[in-house]
Amino acid sequence: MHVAGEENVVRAMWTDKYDGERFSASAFKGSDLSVSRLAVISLDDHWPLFRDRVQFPAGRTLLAFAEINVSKLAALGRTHAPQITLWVDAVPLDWNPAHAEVRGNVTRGLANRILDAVEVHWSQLR
Amino acid sequence: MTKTLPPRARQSAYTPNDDLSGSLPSSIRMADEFHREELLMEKLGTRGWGRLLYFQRCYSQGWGENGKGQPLSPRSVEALFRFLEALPTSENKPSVFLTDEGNVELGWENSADAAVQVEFTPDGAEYFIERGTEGTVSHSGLAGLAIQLAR
Repeated sequence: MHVAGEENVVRAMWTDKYDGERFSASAFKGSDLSVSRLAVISLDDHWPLFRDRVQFPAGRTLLAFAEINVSKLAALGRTHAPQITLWVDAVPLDWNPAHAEVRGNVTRGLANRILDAVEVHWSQLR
Repeated sequence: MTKTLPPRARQSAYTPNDDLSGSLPSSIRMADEFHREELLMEKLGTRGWGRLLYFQRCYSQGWGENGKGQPLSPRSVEALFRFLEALPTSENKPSVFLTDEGNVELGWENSADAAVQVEFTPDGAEYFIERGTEGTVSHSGLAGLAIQLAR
């Protein structure tokens, strides 16, 4: 099922993708990128869900969620050169019913544009 | 009167174990490791050195949100060292990241304040320069890439 363009999704940002100074563009690069839908689970409820489930290995810490609108994401792909068609499919998981995946192969150049466009919500425990 | 003993087959003082024969003596391997540690400290700083060590020691198969994360690839690390050998030392130390595929990634800003990123893959590297180009190089092109990106 396609996720509607009006929806916003978040990508969890962990220790391996942020070193205190810079974010890694590889967080948004590749295909079938895991994101989570705020229409299904609120941002507040995402924090304990992700902390309880996926802080592995030891020391890997959830630092932030990067939020982006689905239509905006598709527009970034459409306006990129060369053009890349992006959409989001809902792929619920047992532990996260809000889980979804970004379809389309995001290149490093496009990943950098997405990174520039996201709104970052920092963890209070950082 | 002197007596001459019959000649004996000469034996080596020691025989290396099977797992050591064919590889470098341990003193040379230790020197090589020491050189690599020094190189990491010089080019990446203590933070980058510590992060690489952390990724090497703690990120095993299946890390991450959906259990798909790959451990750090030794070939990616080899590519990183080849690149760092040629990269001029700078005050502006690169950030060190681990990709979900198990590759090392470096990121920094060049003298024109453009973001520069290099992901070291088992085959070489994939690079990106903001407002510029992106592409790939093989292992043999890593030293040239380091010099090009340092400008």
